[in-house]
Amino acid sequence: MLKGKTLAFHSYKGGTGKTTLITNLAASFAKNGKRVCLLDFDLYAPSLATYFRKKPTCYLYDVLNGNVDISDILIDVSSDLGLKGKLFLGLSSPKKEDVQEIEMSHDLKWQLKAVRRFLSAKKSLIENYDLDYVLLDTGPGIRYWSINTLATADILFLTMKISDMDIEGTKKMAADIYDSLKKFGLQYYVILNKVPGASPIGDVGWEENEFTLTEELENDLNTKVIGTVPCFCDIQFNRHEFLFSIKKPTHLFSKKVIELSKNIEKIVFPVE
Amino acid sequence: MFGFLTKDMTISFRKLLAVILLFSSSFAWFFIFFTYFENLISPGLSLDSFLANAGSVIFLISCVIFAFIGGAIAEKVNLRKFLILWILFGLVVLLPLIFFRGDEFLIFFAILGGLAFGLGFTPSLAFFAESTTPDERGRVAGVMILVAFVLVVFSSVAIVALGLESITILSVFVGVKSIGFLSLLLDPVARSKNKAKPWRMIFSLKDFNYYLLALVLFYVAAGLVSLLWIALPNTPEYEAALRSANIIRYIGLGIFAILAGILADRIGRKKPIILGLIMLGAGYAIVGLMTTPETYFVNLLLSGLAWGVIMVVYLVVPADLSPPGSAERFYAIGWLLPLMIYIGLNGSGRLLGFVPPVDIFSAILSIILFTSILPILYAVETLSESKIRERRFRDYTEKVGKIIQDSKKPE
Ligand SMILES: Nc1ncnc2c1ncn2[C@@H]1O[C@H](COP(=O)(O)OP(=O)(O)OP(=O)(O)O)[C@@H](O)[C@H]1O
Ligand SMILES: [Mg+2]
Repeated sequence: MLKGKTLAFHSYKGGTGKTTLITNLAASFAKNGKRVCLLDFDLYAPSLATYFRKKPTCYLYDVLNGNVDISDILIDVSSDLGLKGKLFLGLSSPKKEDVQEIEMSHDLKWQLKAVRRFLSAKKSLIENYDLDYVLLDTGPGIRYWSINTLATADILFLTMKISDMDIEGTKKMAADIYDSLKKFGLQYYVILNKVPGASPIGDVGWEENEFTLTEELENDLNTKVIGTVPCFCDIQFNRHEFLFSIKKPTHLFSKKVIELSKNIEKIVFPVE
Repeated sequence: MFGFLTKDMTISFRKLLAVILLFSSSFAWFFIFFTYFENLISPGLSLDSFLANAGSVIFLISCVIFAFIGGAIAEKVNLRKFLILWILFGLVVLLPLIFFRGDEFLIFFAILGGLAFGLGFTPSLAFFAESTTPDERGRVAGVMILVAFVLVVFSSVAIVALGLESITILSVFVGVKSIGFLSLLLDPVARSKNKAKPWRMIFSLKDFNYYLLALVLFYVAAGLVSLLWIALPNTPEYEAALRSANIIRYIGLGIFAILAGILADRIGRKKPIILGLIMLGAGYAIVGLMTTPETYFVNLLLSGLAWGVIMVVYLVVPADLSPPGSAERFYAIGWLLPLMIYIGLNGSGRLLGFVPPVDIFSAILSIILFTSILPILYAVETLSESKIRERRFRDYTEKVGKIIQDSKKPE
């Protein structure tokens, strides 16, 4: 049995904070000495290349096509960031032509073949790099590559905002997709992001019904809410919103990320 | 065992059963009545063929008229009580036959038969429409048609095996009809209280008219076909082809009904209809090119399959298009009016003893059928794109899930 676990972040709507949370969590795990690989499976609208300001020569898509080995695309950013453990990145090409190709020119057979390729790539990755975590960032909604990514994960974290639209859509997606993947062994949990209450400081409007909403969600989705992260204007409107948890460890957001990473760790490796 | 059919249906099993039994028992009753009532009314005698044809036509017309009347009544009264009375009436309607028999009663019983079938026909379909969601409707309709034809086959076997004695036939009729009661035991069969939309509005729905036009053309073809067969030479080879095709035909019809239902829920309603029309068109093209017992056999087979497809999808489309409370009217227009055209053509042709030339006639038929595809191409798809997409992704998820599961096994 491999020890490394694969976690995917997904959401019904875009902009719920999947990328923000997964990058900060990845860095936070690695800072604590873990060996982590973060892969950008938002193939339709990749963002990690811009986020980390990296330009590799080949991308995840080349791995899926069987052209290169997954070790050829990994970028080690641990020393740049001064992390105790390891953080490897596998990026996707943000170039318009590449995105279009993935979107348009592939049939079902290619999709399934690519899933198989990724599965074996992931296995060798965990073995060869002795990884604790493989983290998969996904695009929002239901599309081939969000399904593929979720299916290959061990645990799924659903990031959602507390808007009715997001809640309704998530419920529907749970019924359509998550529940059927559950049969095949996927576990999933909810993370509430951008909840009101942090700014203006002291506004307690949200806490009042936090409990009922959380409970309602847990009932409807038949799962647990394992973290709530408030909305911070200085993150939302930062020009280059880069790894807050590393750059500003004392920020309330960073503390929330650490809390979240501990919760996730408890779920992923329950005995330790 | 039927998991492939019922998976991800939201309708409860009880309700599903209620919907199916209500429609299928009554539809099966219609078919066996149409086939056997002449034996029933003048047993032993070979009925004058003009009278026999007149009997069939009057029965069908009576079905249509009472279906309109029944729909109008059902909109106003308690549906459950209405259906109970309707089934009860259907049970007793043929009992006078024990005393009154003979040619002179044929027309009378033809009208009563139409009454016994027609009154509850659109309300039972409205119950189906209101109990199902769009992405399960095709499959439910498929099962309804399949069950109806299974009942028809069983009844025919029973009637033939037990002899054409009128008591046997009568008890089969009573048996089939009383199955309808089961659905009232299984479900309250209540309806939404919505007021029906005016007829005028329904007739002016563009997309409904496109679907309707295709069905009308289909029935024109079907009406002409029944005349075509009169023109075939009366040889043992054709007889044999008819007999062997008929058995396979009903089985094939049932299977294709299910297939059409699955397809209708998966890829939408338009493609299965087009498929059905093409099959039928091809069937006539073959007979037109070469009239032999073999091509006749192929034609019978293809037309059976096509009927299965068309019946199912046309059970679905009115339900898709009708707002709550109006389903009866949509079925009256969408199912029964086109049927009148079939009756008119078939009946008048037979009554007038019209014998058409086979080759020209089949060519005309194929042209009509291929033309009938055009309105469907213009019509809107009534199963929404998002539903089709949803299902595609649900199926895809299952596929990927299996791959992942398999990949975990060897460890
Ligand atoms: N807790 C938070 N407080 C304030 N802003 C946040 C928070 N989390 C995320 N954001 C901001 O929300 C925006 C969207 O976040 P992000 O790109 O992480 O979402 P996403 O779910 O990955 O979006 P997409 O679906 O487009 O990939 C970013 O500007 C990010 O900085
Ligand atoms: Mg993102």
